[in-house]
Amino acid sequence: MNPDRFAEPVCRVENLGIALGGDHPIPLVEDVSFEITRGGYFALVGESGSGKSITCHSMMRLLPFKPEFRGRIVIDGQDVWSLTARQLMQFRRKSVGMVFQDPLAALNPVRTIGSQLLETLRLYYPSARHDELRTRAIEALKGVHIPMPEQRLEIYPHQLSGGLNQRVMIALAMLGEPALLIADEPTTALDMSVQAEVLDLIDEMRRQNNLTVLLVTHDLGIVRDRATHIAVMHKGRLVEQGSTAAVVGAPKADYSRELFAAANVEWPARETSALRQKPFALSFENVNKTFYASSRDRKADIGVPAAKAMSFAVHQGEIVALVGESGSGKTTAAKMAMGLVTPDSGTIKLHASAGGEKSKLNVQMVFQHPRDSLDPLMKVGDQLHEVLKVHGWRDAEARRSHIAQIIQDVGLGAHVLERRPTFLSGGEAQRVVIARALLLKPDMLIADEPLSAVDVRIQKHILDCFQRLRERLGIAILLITHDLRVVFEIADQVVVLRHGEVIEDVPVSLFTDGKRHEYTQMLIDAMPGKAASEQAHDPGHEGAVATGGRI
Amino acid sequence: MLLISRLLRAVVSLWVIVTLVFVALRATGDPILAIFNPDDTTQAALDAYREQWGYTGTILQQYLTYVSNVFHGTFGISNMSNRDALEVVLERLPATLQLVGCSALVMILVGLPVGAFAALDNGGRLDRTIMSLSTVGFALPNFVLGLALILLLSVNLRILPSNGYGSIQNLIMPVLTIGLAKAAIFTRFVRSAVLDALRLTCVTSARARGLSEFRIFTHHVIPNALLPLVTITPLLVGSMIAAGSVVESVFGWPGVGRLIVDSVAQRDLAVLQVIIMMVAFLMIATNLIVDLAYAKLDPRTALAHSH
Amino acid sequence: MTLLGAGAAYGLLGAPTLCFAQAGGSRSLRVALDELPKQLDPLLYQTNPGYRTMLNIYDTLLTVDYAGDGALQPALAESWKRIDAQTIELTLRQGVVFHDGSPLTVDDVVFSFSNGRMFDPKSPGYGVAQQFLSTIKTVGAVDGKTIRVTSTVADPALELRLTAWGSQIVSKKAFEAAGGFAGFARKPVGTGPFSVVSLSPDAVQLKAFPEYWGGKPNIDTLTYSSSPELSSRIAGLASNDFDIITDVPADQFEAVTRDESLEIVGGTVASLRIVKFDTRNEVLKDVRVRQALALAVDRQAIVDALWQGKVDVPHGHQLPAYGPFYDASKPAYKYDPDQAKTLLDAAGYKGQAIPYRIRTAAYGPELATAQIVVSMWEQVGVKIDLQIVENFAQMMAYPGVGMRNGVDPVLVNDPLFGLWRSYDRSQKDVWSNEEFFALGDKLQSSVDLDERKQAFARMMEIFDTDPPGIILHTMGVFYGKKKTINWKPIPSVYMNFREASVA
Repeated sequence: MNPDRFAEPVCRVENLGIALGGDHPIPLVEDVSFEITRGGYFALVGESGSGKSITCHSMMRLLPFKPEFRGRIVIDGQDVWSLTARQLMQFRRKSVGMVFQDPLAALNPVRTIGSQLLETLRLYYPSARHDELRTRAIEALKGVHIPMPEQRLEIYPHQLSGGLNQRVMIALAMLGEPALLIADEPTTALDMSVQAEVLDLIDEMRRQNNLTVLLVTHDLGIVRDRATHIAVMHKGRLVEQGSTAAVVGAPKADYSRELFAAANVEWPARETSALRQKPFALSFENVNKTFYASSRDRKADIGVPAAKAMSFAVHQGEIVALVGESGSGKTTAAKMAMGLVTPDSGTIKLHASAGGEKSKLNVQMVFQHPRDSLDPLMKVGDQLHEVLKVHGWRDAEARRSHIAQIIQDVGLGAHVLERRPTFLSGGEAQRVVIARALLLKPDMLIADEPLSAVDVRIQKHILDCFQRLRERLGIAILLITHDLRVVFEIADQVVVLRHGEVIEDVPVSLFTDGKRHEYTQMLIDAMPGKAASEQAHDPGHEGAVATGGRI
Repeated sequence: MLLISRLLRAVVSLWVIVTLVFVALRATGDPILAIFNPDDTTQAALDAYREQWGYTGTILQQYLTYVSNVFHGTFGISNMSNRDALEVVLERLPATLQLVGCSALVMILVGLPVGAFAALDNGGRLDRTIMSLSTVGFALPNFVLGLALILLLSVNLRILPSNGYGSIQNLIMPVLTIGLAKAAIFTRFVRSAVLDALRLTCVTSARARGLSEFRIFTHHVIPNALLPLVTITPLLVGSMIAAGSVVESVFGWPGVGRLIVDSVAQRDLAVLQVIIMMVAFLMIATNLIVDLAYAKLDPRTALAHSH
Repeated sequence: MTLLGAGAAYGLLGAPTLCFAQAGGSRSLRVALDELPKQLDPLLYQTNPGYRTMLNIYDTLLTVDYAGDGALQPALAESWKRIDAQTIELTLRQGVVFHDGSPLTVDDVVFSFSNGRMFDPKSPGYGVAQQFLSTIKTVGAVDGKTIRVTSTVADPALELRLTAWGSQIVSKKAFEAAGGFAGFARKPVGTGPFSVVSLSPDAVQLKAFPEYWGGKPNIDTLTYSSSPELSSRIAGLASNDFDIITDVPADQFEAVTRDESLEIVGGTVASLRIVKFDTRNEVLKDVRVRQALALAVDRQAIVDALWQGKVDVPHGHQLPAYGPFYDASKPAYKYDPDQAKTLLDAAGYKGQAIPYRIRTAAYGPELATAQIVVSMWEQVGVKIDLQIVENFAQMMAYPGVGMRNGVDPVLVNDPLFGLWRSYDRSQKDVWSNEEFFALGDKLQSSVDLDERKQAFARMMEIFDTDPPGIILHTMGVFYGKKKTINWKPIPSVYMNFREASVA
């Protein structure tokens, strides 16, 4: 490491305190101090609500409210919070660039890519001719490896993929050659396969321009691979900071220890063949389904295939992970299994239970956004009672003890029954939804991205909960996810979908044997944090090199 | 293609509306007895009117005659004025278009800037003042606002005529009555549309790039705020025709709104049917224009792609 | 939609202190109507807006003294002569010209009463002509200035019919040039004191006709404007946008007269407010019940409460304008609840509910009137089932009948067009009295005045002893006007501006 670079901090935050103003100020961030040296790659890590986004927005004075501000933020030699409006504008133009979580939202949807590039370029070249600016805009797009940049100028953000839009955002942020690039969850909204590409692009920018990067993320995998320094935020305070090696290797704070433990991925070597001998719970045979935008498209047979000769099975007591990127058909498969969507052809069968007392297995579904499926005005306990009442549970005492048991099964305390969903955390809400699904003693649970709305630590709790349910109640689970870590953690069998086709259907132990389909391999390679557990990679190494990503 | 299917749907809904109106107006009692006082009119006269105005035979027979007439381009004769119903309605149309057009202009010219100022001062004193005024504005019945204007501007100050049609002076008060009442509502839509647009990430992102606040407002906030407004504006303008019937009464304005009320009271079915067809046609046409405008403003819509 | 607060709000803002002078030197009169006529051929339009405008555009052959005793007077015919029970001859006034400058001839008269205009059931004018002209058989020219009118039956009222609505004389040339009814009703040509300048949905513009045979009117332009809303009409009068406004109800008099330059004129018109019985109702079949109901009503109380005492309670089904038929000695109706109770007991009334239907959209304070009457009936122990209906079809719907509100209009001042017109055989299901019908036939066909007078006197008695209805009061029409306008309304629905002038 070059000691000169440490000597020159690009960004210094001193005792930062942000509170929501009012008669009784609500503290959001308290006593946060850190420094980022020139060329550094600083990662601010924490769960949602930990104050990391507020911290980084306050560094550009972009908070959506009028805060009570304490402390000092100095970036590129300027005391950010004492700048005049004019100075602040110059500061934003020249000193810092920012990349946002959802590139489609961060670009104006009703204006072309080109017009947004040109209007920003105009700030730096006020007297340049239009065609001159156009050339520069094309150069900027080339700089972030966007193919056919000339054509892209004329189109709108929604006509580009998420990955390309994020590249446009990076190009926009880099136009002013800033000293510091703040990237706020830059990959969270993107498909797995492009996440690495975007991160690699940021690395490339950093190397080329001697750029300093502040990365805000909840994804520890990214951090381990690329950051030079890590700061962990929890409940508005920094609980730990230091070089990546030090923090990852030996986290000191309790919270960070728990966080890193939860994010650790172990290559699974589970023996799952015994489960495959059990009777079927659900089977898809040669299922086809195509969606058409209009009846004209149907006639012309121009449709979006959601299932092409799709065949796979879930055995009783087995956890099968259905993996794929958005548009792969995994949610359609779940809906077809629930009978919410009718397939064009093929057979979907819910098999009878082993004892034969029921002709069909009882299936319940858990949705992606737990809060959307709960009544916000009704106490959790009442909602659970209601489900049972509808299904003929007359005895209130029996209902109460059954609910108490299930709530315990999903690892919640009895106190949640007295609360309304608004007062539950994301993880608690998701477990309430799971509990509700379990009330009617299903033989099978279909869970559509149950973990995407919650943080790493809570993911761990929910996965544990699934594991316990399977062991205690023998429930089969079809888990729909885009996150391979979840697969490694819990699945017995992995089914990979792409464009409605099953391209992989293997036991989890064979998943990483290196003999998989090219696409599967790509998904595995793109998984952040994979390198850390596979080999003793040194994350402290300055200027971390791109790993599996490709451009 | 999209356009043709849309037009077809429009024709079908138009037909359904006309049929419903046709049946409803005849099912609520003998139209002749709704028009004439039998204490005043001999049976022979009533029968003659029934014959002349085509109220003989079953409703179905009357309906078939009506439909065949419409296909031949005749919309029937107005009982009230013994003239072609279409002519009666068209004669009133300029007054209504003047009133609605100018009111819409007032609504937009007042609502847009006031709503935008309120949004920019979200929660501030200006915002609270504007919102209170807006509440008063849309809670106040048109009737009361119109009379208050008459009492102030005609009776007390004597600067505008209280009733009548034809001159600019006549136009001012009815237009203010409708325009301001709708502006009170429109202001709220503008405010919330601008507030929503201000909260967009693309606005934060533009600010982060160092664009001036003015440029952000004109190039990022306004284009996004316009989208919901384009949808709501024709609805508000359409509701002006309904508001018109009251305002036209207060100011003696010879518009279509007043004609609707009279025609219902007098069971002038031919005229009513023409008006309903015309209003439906106007609404359908406006919706089409809105769709096209939306496509122009928002590149994400389906119509935008079919070009 | 009467805004009770309009007057109050007006007071709050203060009475006007400024006053603009009348524009220019031209004497114009601006009248605000709640509704404008949509066509100006009397045969097409027999409603209030028509009465108020067309009287000033057209003339009839004969007319009556509306303001006085209702006596016949010459008009376009300068004299007339009864030939026999079915024939009269009239001498046409010479030198009369139409608004288009062409002279009035016997051809125009014959044409005005032609089959094509009046008596063909397919003619749009048939319905209105049936009202008063149904007995007319022929109207023909004897020579260049004599017209002979004959009737299908002996008709004592033949002269009066020639004063009635529908008998206005139109220009044959103009009617034919306009292509018939529809065109003529937009561009009418008559011989009246005012000619039509324009007819539009917002205003009817008339101007003085200098060659009017009765002398050029005192005002130059007469404009009728549409102002459907009462409160705006009052405001428009106060703000000097109108000179005269129509249809001011009693409870709004104060709002007008608060301004010292304004006043209320008008009063009783030739029309009676009646509660009508349907004797098909089991209870009302008994004459004693009907008499009791009549005795239980305090008519003056209604007139005082709702009309500020400004309309009359007639003594019998008659009007002073009936002239020789008017019996001034007839006593007033009695209000005697005790006798009403006695009669009800005698009839064995057991508290059966009697349906009473009223129409929401009717003349005057219909609902308030009904509520007062109902409470009076309840005082004597009669149970009423008050039904508010929307139109006449619902009003007349049988079965379920009992009583209903109604108005007996007297557009021509003869009992033939009052009592007999309202209670002749055409409604005999509802009420019948053979003696009354026989007397009515005599009233209608006899040309002997005394015989007719006796018949009418007895008919009025029957009306009160075997009542088909209860007379409440005469109807009233009130106008607001500027004191500077000289105009006296006549006790009729018509508005006559022949004599009006601007001070």
